[in-house]
Amino acid sequence: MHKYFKYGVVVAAAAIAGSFNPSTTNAAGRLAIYCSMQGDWCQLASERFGKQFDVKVSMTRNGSGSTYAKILAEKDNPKGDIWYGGTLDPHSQAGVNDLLVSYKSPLLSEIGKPYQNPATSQKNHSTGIYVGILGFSVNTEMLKQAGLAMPKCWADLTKPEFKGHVQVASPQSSGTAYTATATFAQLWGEDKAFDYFKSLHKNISQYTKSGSAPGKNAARGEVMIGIGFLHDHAKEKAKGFPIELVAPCEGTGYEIGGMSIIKGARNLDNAKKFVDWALSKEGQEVAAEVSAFQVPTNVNADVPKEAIRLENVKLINYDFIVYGSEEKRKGLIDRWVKEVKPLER
Amino acid sequence: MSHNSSSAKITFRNVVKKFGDLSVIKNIELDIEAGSLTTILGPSGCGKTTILRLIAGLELPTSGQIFIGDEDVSALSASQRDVSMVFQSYALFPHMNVGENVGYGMKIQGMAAEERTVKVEEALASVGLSGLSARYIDQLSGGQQQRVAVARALILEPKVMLFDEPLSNLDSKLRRNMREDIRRLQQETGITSIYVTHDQSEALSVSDQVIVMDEGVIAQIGSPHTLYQKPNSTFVATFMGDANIIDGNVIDEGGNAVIDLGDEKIFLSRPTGEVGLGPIIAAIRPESMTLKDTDFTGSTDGMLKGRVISQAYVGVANEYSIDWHGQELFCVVSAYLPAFKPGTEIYISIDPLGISPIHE
Amino acid sequence: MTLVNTSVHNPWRDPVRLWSFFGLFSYFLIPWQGLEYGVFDATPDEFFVAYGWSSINSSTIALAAFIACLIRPWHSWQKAPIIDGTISAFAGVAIFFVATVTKEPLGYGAALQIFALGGILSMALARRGFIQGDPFMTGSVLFIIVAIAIFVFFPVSTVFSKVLFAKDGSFTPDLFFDNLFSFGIGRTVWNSLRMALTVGVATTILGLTFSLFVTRVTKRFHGAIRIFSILPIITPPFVIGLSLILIFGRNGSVNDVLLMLFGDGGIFIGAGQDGWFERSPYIYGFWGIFLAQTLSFTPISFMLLVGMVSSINPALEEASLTMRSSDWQTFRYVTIPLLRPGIANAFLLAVIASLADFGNPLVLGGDYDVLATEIYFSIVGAQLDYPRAATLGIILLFFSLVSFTIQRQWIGKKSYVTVTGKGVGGTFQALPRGIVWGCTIIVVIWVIFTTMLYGSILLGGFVVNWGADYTLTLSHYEELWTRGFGYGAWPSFLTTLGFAAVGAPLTAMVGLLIAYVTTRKQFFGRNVVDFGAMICFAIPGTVIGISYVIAFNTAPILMTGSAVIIVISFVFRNMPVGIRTGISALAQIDPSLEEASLTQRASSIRTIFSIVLPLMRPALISAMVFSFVKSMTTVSAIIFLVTADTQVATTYILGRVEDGDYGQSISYGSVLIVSMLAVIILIDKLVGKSRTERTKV
Repeated sequence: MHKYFKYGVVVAAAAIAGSFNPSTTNAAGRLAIYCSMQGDWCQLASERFGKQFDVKVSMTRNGSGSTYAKILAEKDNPKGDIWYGGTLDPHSQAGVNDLLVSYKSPLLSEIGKPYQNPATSQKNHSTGIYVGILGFSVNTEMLKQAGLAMPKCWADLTKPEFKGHVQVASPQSSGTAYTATATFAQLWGEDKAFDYFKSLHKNISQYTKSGSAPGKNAARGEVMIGIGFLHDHAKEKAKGFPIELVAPCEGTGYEIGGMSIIKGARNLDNAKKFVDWALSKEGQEVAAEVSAFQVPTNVNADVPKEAIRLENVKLINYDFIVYGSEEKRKGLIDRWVKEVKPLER
Repeated sequence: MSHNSSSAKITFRNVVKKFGDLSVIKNIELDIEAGSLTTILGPSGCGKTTILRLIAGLELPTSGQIFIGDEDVSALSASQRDVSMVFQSYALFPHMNVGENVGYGMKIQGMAAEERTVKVEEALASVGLSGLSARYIDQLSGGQQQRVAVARALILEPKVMLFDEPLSNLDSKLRRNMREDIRRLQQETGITSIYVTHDQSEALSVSDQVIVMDEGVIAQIGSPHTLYQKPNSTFVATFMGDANIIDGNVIDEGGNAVIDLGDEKIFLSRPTGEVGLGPIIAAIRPESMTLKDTDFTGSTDGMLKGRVISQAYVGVANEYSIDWHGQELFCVVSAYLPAFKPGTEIYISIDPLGISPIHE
Repeated sequence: MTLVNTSVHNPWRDPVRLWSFFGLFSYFLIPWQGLEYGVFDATPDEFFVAYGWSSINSSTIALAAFIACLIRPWHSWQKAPIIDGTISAFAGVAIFFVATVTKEPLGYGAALQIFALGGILSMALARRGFIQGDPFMTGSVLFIIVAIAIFVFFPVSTVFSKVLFAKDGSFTPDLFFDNLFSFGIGRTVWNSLRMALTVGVATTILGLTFSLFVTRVTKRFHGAIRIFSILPIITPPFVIGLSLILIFGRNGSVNDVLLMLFGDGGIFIGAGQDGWFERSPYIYGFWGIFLAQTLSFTPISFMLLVGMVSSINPALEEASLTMRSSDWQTFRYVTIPLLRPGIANAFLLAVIASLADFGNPLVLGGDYDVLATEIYFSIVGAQLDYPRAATLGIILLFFSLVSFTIQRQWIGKKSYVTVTGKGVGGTFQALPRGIVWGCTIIVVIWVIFTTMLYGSILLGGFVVNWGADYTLTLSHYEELWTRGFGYGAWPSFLTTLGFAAVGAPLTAMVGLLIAYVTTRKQFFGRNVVDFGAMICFAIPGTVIGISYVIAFNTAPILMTGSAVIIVISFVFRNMPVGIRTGISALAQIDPSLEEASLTQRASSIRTIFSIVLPLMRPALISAMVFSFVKSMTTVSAIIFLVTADTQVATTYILGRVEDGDYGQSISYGSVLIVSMLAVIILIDKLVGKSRTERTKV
């Protein structure tokens, strides 16, 4: 009797201990990645990391805007551990809104200086993993048919002969178009930038919703000139579409691909391991394998031959801190909506 | 089909039914004897169908209690009550054949298929539809559909059968046959039955008891004979067949009651005590009147003097419209008696049995 | 012989006690709390903790309630139902309250036990005379009200409450008006409305045309026309848009042909002369959206109307004809008015679907902004702006509510019963010649158009690079389908099939049940249920998705990341079509058929299965098909809900589209289309044809 009582106490104690101490042993080997880059890149990176570190990776791919919305919606009980890729601005916003964790990877030394801590919060919330250059692509067949000269500069796009031949996304819906707006503002000052936008407006066939649409449309002959990130266009070109990529002569802006650890991550250690891996030469060279032609930020990583090399482009000194802030952003977009969008074409 | 020993009486205690703010049934008390056939009669909107649906469980009372036998069924749903119903629209299932329709209830009870087939054939035979069980409903005539509906209700041998204007869609000859069949089946099975109709001749011909309803209350209950002969209100009198309504005053003449109409009078030929003195309404059945020529030689005491306005020959009778002191009286006289032309002055003689004195 | 159910009289088989027993059973066997990593991945420790009896928590309330209702000392009291009802209702509310305070995520066990409490409560209410004393119907009403409250009103209110709060959480009601009167919003609203009304009219007319054609004009091509008319609905979003661009785009085949005929030096113009046609991107904007939406929503209106048209009682038309009215007058004054509920419901659905659609405007809209895209980009666009999204959402909902109300007024209280218990034979009379010809012409145009569209879609999957390199290849299919079940398209395809297979019957059932209780039963809050069910359909999927994440990511109802939430979102988002179809079908069925079944001792649930469902078979098929197809093609609502393990076909295709892999997207799309067609034909065969469907012989 006495013996049974003792066993009973042990079992009960174990049960009580169990109820107060939820076990997480099973989760130690997991990592939940929210990925905002092209699908095969996300896939390959997740697989490779998972295999190498023996971690059960679950990857959910979504656009950067959607991912930001999702992380914000889940903030009381975060489901993701790391946010991998996608343009920096939403990462910046997430950092400012206290949704991310600061982490200084030991591999930062291998990363180009401007990309080590680019986000607005300046608290090492996000690290740059790639650079994508803004520019435009020209459908060479249509150009030849129309008998026009190849545009080389932003200013060329406002020439009357290109009327109805240019596409850019709407800054209201697209981060790409916002980068363009911010680039013009930094090139010429805000007022002149809007003057440029107004004269460009006359040539626009339509403002697309998605930032990558103008490039795809130019590739498929739906429009002659599409403004967007050139690495997207490079991919279309590699598929055989007749387009030529132009890095405008006046200089141009660029985007940084961000990577951040989500606050409240359930697998923080693995998330850090992943950051270290993704910043390494090896981790960054995954991109080229899936024909993603962004420029890696790791100085030791090989740049794919299809990518536009940074040294061949006149890059502006893009201020991610100022132009990543919400006030600046709202100001520029509102001004575009009021001053440019309603104009007659 | 054997006599049903388990047929039950139906009792309503203070039953009220409201739809929203509208009271459709106003505090009804009702006792219906086990094994009887009761007809509910009344104009449309009087609540007669609601009474039926309350018994069936298709509506639940807002307040009050309903008993079937000794069981309080007030809160039981339709499927929990031992009640069958024949609908005005027959409500035969269009996706089932005749046999499946009739056997539906038995199938629900879980009766085996072979046993069911036998029962269904029996029930169909009892309504004269042997051998039609494989037909679909749209392959039957109206009368046959009606019989299927009756068979379907009967087969469950319920404690109570309800008929909601079952004959309203049939022609007059078929109606007469059907109502006789229903009466026969009801008497054979002894199932307590309630029959709703707005046709008084149907009500009079089949029922043991008739309930006349008006605006959610029971106007009168009684045997067909009582209701026709002794209506308790002008509503009942006029609803149960035609009646001429005359206001008068009862006086006593040698122990017998007489209605005094000033210049004229009508003999009631019954003791004054039975009727009571004072103002009264007399409901006079049109067929209790006969017309006499003005050169008629006998006593005109107790006759009314009037003038023919119109005359119509309807085969078995002549129907007259007669002007009597500015009031129009309707009068039905056998066609084998001599007819009177419009404009003729006549005397109206009234059979006292056709007069119902009403105190209102 | 007496056939009264005697089990009622055995006190230990009283339903209240049976429900209590069921509740206790699940209390001890099934984990009360939700498991973070799912049932199969949880450790024994996690499992143990999740059991209600492992500690004192909200489940203790359920335990107490079940024990009380099982012992039930008040069993024979007059007021027993009141006590049962109070206990179960109180326990249900208390569980939610406690779980919210203590942040317990309620799991499967909790769901079952709350279900059991619901059973006790409906028994109690039915015994007090609720819904004609029918426990099943009472339970259904209760279930529907609670489900709509939890899965519609609760999540939607979490998003809409943001309309009044600034980013920092401060209460700023001005924000709503700022957004409401913000620049350019008027034009967007007008664009949306114009589009919705045009599309509504067009799809209703087309749906009616197809319904008349397959039931009344000819039976010869019945199957083929049916398939052609529902093809667009089984096409994954984006695929329609992409193929329209391929055909009508600036560089599309239609332009190629027109250019060859009428362009510079074209066949009809003569060499060296200026043609009067040149390439232009006319497809982007109003006409592009109109075309795509008309294509997408006509199937809904067809499915809704075809059942009604085939159930019309021919005698009614015959009656009209014998009264010396012409075939035109009969059509105008008898046939069309009888179809009123169907027409009104089809129009309502099309208007609301058009208002809420963002996929088509996204691809084809050009500069034509509509509310749905604006809402979408307020959430996932260049800046996350909940208050703006919510304000626009409220405008959208307002218009849905208005069209809902107008629709109800228009249908009115008239009777549309054509299926009665009186057998009616007869076949349909011929339609007026004009109608026959009109229908035929429209159908032929549609067939040519869809053939072109789907031909190009099928072909697109077999060429190397759509738009650039038209060499035939199988590489897209190989890439997607031949690398084993764990790779390429297989995982998402199988997941999607699974979700749809679970979701479709559930959606159809819940939808038709709601249709049934709202049309046949009187209860408090009926209109709220009816409208509440419409809300999920009327709000753009993105908003629904994000609201589900916000609402169901924390205790007490923690479901994000699970497959359950995806199925639930399917059910509540696709259900309105089932409801509308059901309401239209029920309007044709004489209620006395159900009453006849009830008086034959059939319980209400039995009546539904053996009388109501067989009689509304066409509606059932429509609801099943629609929810199956929608579950397989929905994208917007689940973008936020899918995880690595619950990746579905559409999100996979969307990813391919975003990466510019049109070949793979289209080949995946083709496989989806073909497999859905197979399933639809299967459903059609399985559910069979009802006897009340009449077609011209």
